Amino acid sequence: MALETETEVEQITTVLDEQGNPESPANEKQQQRVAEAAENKPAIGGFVHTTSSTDAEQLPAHDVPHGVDVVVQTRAANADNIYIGNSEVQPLEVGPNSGATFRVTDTSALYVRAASAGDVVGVIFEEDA
Amino acid sequence: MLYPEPTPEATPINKPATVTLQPDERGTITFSPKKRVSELVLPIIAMSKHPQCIYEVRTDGDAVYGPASIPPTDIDDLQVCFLPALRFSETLTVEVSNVGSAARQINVQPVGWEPAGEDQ
Repeated sequence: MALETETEVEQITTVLDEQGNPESPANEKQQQRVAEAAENKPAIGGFVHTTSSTDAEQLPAHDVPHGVDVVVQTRAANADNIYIGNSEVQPLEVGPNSGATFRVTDTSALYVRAASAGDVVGVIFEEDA
Repeated sequence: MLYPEPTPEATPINKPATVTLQPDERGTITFSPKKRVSELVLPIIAMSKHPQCIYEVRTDGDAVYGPASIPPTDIDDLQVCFLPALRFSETLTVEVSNVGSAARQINVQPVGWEPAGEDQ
């Protein structure tokens, strides 16, 4: 008794990139990364930055986990507005006792420019232990 | 240990086949008797064992193994893996999916027999 064989190879269902090329669906590592970003964090990081001028000042560097928002809040006692943005432009006008959130991987991506030198921002974010 | 055991008049079956799978490819190998038979007996289906491969076996369209991350038996071990042995009359289908990032050569080796008096 002999057996005949027939062999077929097909592509497992994939997703397409924007050029129409097949890409692997999310693998275990990617799924784990997404899961970690969605989970709560065990610790809180933060700092206070007191402006020393009316020029754009870079905030200190701190790693921020994926999926975490950085909260930048201006002090109620500030004399004037603080403008938030990047090294080139700081378009976001934030008055005293107000704030904004940013999803960056490092707080040093943020620049603040005080209309009144000496005004203060507080920065807080969740982080891994 | 085999169950059942072949008689001396039985005709042996040992038909290896090979397929190379690139990442994200699925290979389907279908074995079928050249002549009509009422039943073939298969206690061993050996396959190359690789990480990130998924193995499935169907006989006459019915799922009998997997999906699993290991083959019924490794091609290097060739151990009896079905007790009692599988039986089929029309098709033995082996499906291997490569969900890893490396190309894999998959060897498939069904081993069994055709009982005496089955050839029609």
